[in-house]
Amino acid sequence: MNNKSLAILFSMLAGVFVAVATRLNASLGERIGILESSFVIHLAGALFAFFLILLFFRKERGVLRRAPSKQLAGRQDEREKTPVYLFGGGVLGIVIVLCANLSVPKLGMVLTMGIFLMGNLIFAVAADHFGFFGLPVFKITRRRLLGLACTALGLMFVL
Amino acid sequence: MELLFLLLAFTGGTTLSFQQVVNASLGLHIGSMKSSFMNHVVGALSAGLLLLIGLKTGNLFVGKIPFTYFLGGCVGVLMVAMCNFAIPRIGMMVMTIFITSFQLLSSCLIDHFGWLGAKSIPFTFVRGIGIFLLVVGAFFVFTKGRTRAYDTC
Repeated sequence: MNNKSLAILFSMLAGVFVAVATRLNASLGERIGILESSFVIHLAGALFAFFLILLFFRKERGVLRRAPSKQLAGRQDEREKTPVYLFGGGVLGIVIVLCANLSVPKLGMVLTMGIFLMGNLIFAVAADHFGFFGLPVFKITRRRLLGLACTALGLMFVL
Repeated sequence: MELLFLLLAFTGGTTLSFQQVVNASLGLHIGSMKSSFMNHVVGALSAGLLLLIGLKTGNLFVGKIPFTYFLGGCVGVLMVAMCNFAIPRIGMMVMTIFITSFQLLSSCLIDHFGWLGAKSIPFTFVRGIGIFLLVVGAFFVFTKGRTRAYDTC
């Protein structure tokens, strides 16, 4: 199996994993409470990531030592400090898990994932159109609007 | 009442892509696996803090929960590692489309058979059309030019 088909297989698996993880989190949330499950999930994830770094990602060891990627080194001064707000992603994770935990038992997986996808697409299109966070600007095209319309229509069928 | 949950799911979706952008930027600074690690540490700390100040939504110490239910976090970390492998080899767009379609397909299976503690929601032809349209929509949005400069996970 070559690298490309392995990458495609991994992408498919990653998709299955998203659904499985969301459902597991929601089931855990129903048993022990949504905030508690959010805590447990993040703790388990942190431990697991810690072991993965220890075992397989030797290059990334060292909590404070930075390993700037080639992309970043090309764009920015390497001595530039990592902005603290970038570490705030975990707080957003709590919001996501709370939202998912509340909606999955009520709406079911397909509908929740569908709406998640819709929100995701709208954000992506908006982020590209306005160039959020200093990202390059990609204006809204008719093709993209068509895509959003298709997604909305699909959601109505699932509803 | 259902509208509230629809709104909640929508908020979750937008927050998700917001978080992806933030995580990916952090990944450029400190490495993608460490970024995932820090993300989970900060998440656990903030949730723990909320619990400590007394925001309880249930009981953390209920016995007899299937062990698999605790694996959600680990599965998420694995997913990030897989995305990191896939992005440089097949590109963002192809990966996103594969992820989206398989996410929806496995959601269908989970709903239909009521796996992993779910109550069963049977698969219908109409739902099939809906899912097809969702994937087509994602395909249209993601296939013209690059959508985001950073990875999705």
